[in-house]
Amino acid sequence: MNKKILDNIKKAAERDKRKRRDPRYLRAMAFLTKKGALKANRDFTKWYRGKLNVKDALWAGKHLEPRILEVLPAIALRLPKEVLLTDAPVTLLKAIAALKNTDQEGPDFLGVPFKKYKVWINLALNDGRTKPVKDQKQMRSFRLSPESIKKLEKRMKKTGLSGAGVIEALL
Amino acid sequence: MKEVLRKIFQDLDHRIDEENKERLESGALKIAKAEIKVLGQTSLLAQPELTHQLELAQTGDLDAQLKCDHFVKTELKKILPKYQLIYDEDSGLIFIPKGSKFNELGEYKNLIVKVIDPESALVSKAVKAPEKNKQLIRSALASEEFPSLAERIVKEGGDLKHYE
Repeated sequence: MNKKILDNIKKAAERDKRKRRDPRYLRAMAFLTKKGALKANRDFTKWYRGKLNVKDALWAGKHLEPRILEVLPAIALRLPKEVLLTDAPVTLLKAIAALKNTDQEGPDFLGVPFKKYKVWINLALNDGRTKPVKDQKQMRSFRLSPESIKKLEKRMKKTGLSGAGVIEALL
Repeated sequence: MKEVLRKIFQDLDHRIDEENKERLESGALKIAKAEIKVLGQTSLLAQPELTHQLELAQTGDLDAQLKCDHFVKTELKKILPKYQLIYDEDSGLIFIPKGSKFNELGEYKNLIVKVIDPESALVSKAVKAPEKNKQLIRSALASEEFPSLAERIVKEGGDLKHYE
């Protein structure tokens, strides 16, 4: 085995080790593991800051953990109040837009194929309240006759369900 | 992760049991014992005693080769989201290097679960997804905990220079 190559690998591994102490990596991993987007064998809890700056995530994803890039578009879409998109690159905004439109096809995101990062819009997150996109309700409008509306309201009163609840129960 | 996998497969075993009871009552054939081989990043996290020197992160996908009845696969896919996991349908395409060993993770009434040895999982990653696993392979090589890793990567067609 080429000793020189292995020595160079060891030096590169040392550099990675130092990078793993970078607050950008620690904050990004803390946020993503806390939310349940990633799992890890290291505890990042003390680096959790409540929000994720995409600049941190992009740096950490490019330099240390590419899996960060894989989940980033879906997490940015699903936690818009917690992921800070200030100065986000166009590639990320395009990836988020493709997910938002539930497109069948979408652009790669920094080498991650659309199919690979799309999966994470349906992952259950730790907070238990952010619904996977596939479970989110969708807005539809229907024109009903006054008689049907009366019947619907009567049933809503009787069952304590919303209008949508009554229709879903009938379906 | 080991504990999570145990819970998942206990749950799965229980569901197969329930199904078998119904099949027995209706005179149908019982489901044959399933074999599940856990691969990929999950396999590394499931063996902390062998991978503690590596810093590991994992998305929610479970890579596993399934030798089982369709019912078992369907039930597994239903159980996984409860544990924030999603079954990767491309699992069948994962490269299993020559000389891979499978350590037993658990044997249940209706299924046996095995996990690929860490060194072979690393070889597979190094050969098939070098960019995504660059830092991981580097640290594994540098740790010297996987004595044949470098040699096996080269033998399987990987390029060590990629990790310099």
